[in-house]
Amino acid sequence: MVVSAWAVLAATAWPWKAALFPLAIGIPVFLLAAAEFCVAATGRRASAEALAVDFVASQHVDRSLALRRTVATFTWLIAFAGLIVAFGFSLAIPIFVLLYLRIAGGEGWLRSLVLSLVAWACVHGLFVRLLALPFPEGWVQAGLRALP
Amino acid sequence: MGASLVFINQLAKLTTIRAHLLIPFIVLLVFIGSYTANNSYGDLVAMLVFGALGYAMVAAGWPRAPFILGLVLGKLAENYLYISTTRYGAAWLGRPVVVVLFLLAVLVIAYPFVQARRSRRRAGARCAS
Repeated sequence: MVVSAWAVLAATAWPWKAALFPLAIGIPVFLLAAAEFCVAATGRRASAEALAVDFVASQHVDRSLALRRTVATFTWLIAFAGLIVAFGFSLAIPIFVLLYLRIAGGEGWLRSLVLSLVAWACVHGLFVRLLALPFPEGWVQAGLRALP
Repeated sequence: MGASLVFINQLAKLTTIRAHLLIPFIVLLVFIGSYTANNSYGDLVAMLVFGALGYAMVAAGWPRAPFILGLVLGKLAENYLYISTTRYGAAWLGRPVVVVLFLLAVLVIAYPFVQARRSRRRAGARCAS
């Protein structure tokens, strides 16, 4: 409600061409959000079959465990993004797969190494060799190259 | 699609592989897919941000489909709203297709409330009997 009200108020000061869409969206969103607020304030909820179909998170997992898993998953994803920026895709992929399988998966060294090489070979073969996608080198390689 | 149907049994067996072995490969494909959209690291950041937002929406029980539809169709809707208004003024609101679409939208909005009311009525009838 606050966002749509702010959008509508801001749009009223604009020329009509610019204000048209924000007003056309903002006013119905405000009214629907207000209706939803009124429904929620009365403590009513839509029946299960009336709710939109979407993925539902597991309800039987302990909250603290779910939070730990969520934090761990996002940490891995952010770490992989950091590896890509630092080392480029070609080095980040085997490093990430190896570390993930060893640390998070608890797999043995041999299986982790083999799967890391398989992942690198698949990506390199498909995306670099066959599709010729330009993956840039990472900041580390660029920094090393810039050294005198 | 044909290839998917031919290999459907083999593809179904993927679900029997341990999650820890599958996750790194899925993550790889997700990252490569988002990067190659524009060959930009910014897309990786956008993917992570929208991934977190999607997770938060699931955790809060908010449906993500309307949000995605709004993001995908928003630009198109803005363009065609502007074109229609410039060409026809407010008269486009009275055209038959537009009226039917508006009615459908109203029905979709009203449907959860009608369903909830029906459920309450059924539950009340069961209690009374």
